[in-house]
Amino acid sequence: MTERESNRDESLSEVVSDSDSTPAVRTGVPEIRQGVLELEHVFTSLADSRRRYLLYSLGSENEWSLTEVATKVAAWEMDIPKGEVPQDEIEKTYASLYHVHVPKLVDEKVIEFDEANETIHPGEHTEQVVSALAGVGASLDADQETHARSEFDDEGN
Amino acid sequence: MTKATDGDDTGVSEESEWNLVQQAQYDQDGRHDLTTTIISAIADAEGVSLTEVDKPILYECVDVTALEDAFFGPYVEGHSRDSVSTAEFEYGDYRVVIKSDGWISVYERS
Repeated sequence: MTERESNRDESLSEVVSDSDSTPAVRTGVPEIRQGVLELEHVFTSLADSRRRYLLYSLGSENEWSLTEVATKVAAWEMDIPKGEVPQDEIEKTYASLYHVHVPKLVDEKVIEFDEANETIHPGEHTEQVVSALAGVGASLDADQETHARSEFDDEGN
Repeated sequence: MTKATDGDDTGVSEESEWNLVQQAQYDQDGRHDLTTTIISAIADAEGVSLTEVDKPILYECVDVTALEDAFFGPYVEGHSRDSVSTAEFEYGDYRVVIKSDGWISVYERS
């Protein structure tokens, strides 16, 4: 190991071990506050494409019925207009959201779910997670999600 | 509760009295996830529509996402995992057995 590499390793371990301040990790990428690395609910919430679609929806409204969200997600995945999604596809997507993704996001305090009305509302961490998602969208380009994003932007007005 | 087993065909031990009431095949290349396939099988077993299966919430019974990753996750060095594993859990009054070849079996206590 050269002296220069060794110095770099030391400075990195300093950054990682220092939890009182929020130093930037210097790797040539934009500055990242260490606290960001610990935002488990952000990364867990965004790990699944259906949860990301659901969160795009939340960005533009304060309340969604789960059926509406299921219809939007199915339309995005099938790349067809919402009005053309067959009923059984809506129901299958609904089952997936209802039984796994919604409870997961409720657990992470990203959304609130009103069981009686089957509606989704923003939760404590919504803004943080949606901001992270918007940040990713600003720097990366994935075909499907760009598609979802354009719809999100359209409806946000 | 989830219990991973290997060896026997059904994953349900012989001394327990469970009757097979429904089977379904999970298509990992399809648009729908393992959750939807499990809930569809339960709905068929109960003779109701998919959206009527609302209690219990599957998330509270088993971590389906973990099962999906473990059994049907990314290919390993270009090959799928060849050995067949089984996991089982209880969903309400049913016992559900998932095999890594994609077969889902729903049992009812006799």
